[in-house]
Amino acid sequence: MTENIRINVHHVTRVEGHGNIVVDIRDGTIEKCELQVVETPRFFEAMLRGRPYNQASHITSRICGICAIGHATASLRASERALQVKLSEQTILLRKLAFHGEMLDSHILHTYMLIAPDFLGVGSVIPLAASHPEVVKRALRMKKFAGDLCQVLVGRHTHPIAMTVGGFTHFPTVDQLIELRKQAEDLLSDVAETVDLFSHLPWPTFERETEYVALVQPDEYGFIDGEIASTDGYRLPLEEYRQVTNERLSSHSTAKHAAFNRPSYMVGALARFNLKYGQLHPRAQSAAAHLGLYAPCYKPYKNSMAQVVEIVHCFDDAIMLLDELIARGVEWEAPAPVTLAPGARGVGSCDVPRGILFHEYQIGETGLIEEANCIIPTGQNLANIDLDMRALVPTIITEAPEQITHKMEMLVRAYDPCISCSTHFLNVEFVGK
Amino acid sequence: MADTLILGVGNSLMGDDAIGVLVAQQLQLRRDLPPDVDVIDGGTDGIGLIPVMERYRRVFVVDAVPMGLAPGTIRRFTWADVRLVGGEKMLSLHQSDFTEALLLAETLRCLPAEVIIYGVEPQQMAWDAPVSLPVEQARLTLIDNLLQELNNAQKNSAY
Repeated sequence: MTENIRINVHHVTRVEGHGNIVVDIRDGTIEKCELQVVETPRFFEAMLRGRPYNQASHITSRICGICAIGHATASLRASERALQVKLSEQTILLRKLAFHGEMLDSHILHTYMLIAPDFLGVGSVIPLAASHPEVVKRALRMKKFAGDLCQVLVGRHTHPIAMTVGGFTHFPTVDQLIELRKQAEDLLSDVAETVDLFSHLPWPTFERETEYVALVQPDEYGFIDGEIASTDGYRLPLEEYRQVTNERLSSHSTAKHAAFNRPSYMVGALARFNLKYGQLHPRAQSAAAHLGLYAPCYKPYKNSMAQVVEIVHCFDDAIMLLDELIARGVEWEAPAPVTLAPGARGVGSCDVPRGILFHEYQIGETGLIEEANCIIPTGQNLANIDLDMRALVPTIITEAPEQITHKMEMLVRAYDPCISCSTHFLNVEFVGK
Repeated sequence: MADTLILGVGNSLMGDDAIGVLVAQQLQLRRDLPPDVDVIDGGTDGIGLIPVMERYRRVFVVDAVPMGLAPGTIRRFTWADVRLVGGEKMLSLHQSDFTEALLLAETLRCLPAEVIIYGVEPQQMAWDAPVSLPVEQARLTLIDNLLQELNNAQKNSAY
């Protein structure tokens, strides 16, 4: 057994943002084993104070370049619940459909571009495109559908402009929905091949039971509104989310950590799968069986497998919603009215690709936001990632350091952590000039 | 279906990185573009632009390119002239930029037959920075050069 091991992965690759894995083992004892989050805090909550409530969804959608619809939805729901807005059935259907666009986009990117390279033995999606071009092309085809869905429903691929407090400012035509329905139908074989691809990968078997937290709804495997549920048997209304998240500072992370009934809990696709497997669409349930994923599953690496199951579910649910909207037609509707009152408070929540998300606003009688609180899924997962790493390290301690490092990176990636957003310029070097 | 795409890419919140987007937005207002030319503001979409590009035979990419030249210098080059730096090890999808998109499209053999890049040397690329004077001045020259190349190509093909 090795007595002294030091691992320092400075900026884990293929995760969204900047985080470091640091492991320090002395004389066979784990001195340190943590995911350090070194991203600069962004102060979105402070930015919202003093702004009109109807700007909040546009500002907070910028928190993330992937979960923009998720943040916008949670933001709108917070304002709507504070201002006693009653949504029309059409608004609810359109919001659910748009949400699937984002869920599909995010899960397809994560499973194909960030996870598959690890299993197929390549460093990133570029060599993957060389060795398995049909796999990458399939991912891009499916991703395009997800983007088109968002574009038609909310006006653009990322950062929705057509969603507003009380409803929408723009509506898709039935012809556009019929076209999307056709595209979805054409992709069903790609969806089936996705399940097949991920069923053949060598998934790590590491297991650690923890508490799983997700939103639950009485009649569907949904993602917007509902109650907070935990696999430890708790059910809470959204207003009591602070009893679940219990945010606390941690010396090695600029993002806060969270704990409910145990030292940590997990949110995301696996948490949702564990809590409401029975509500998945039948084809998603068969996909889970084909993948060998059964609830409850305590293997954190299989969070990505649960994402594959959700890809199937969201495709089928999107087709169902499209059929319903095509059958009933889409009417132009003015946004539902708001009721302003002093100190109105509301909590909005949705289960975005990486897990449960909360926005809470206090809105004054003139419509300005007085206080805001946003709790992001990755923050809720950080404590659980640390504890997983602590449990994983002793089981792989005899392996070569590169192997240990790779398995730990894969573990962090399985959570699909979203630490920040950034963009870069085109960087080139001239050849022989 | 148009044969040529002008694709402006970059982040309009990052100072001179906005140049591609500004050029695309301005060209979208022109009424004197050849009929078979589309203009798209690609923003920071990265690999999402692959299915957009692959429908065209020829793509003109406009972007800020640090080449070690004087700020505002415009350089026209083709895909064959360069090796993209940094795309081999994709850090994340938030950071997936146009470098990865081009590399990935090439690897998948769906890159348009002709890829011509109009690069502008940036002076400043930082959050909330304005577009610098040299890059702002390069904008009109770049548009003129690009339109001239398009019109010449069209005249030649007309004979």
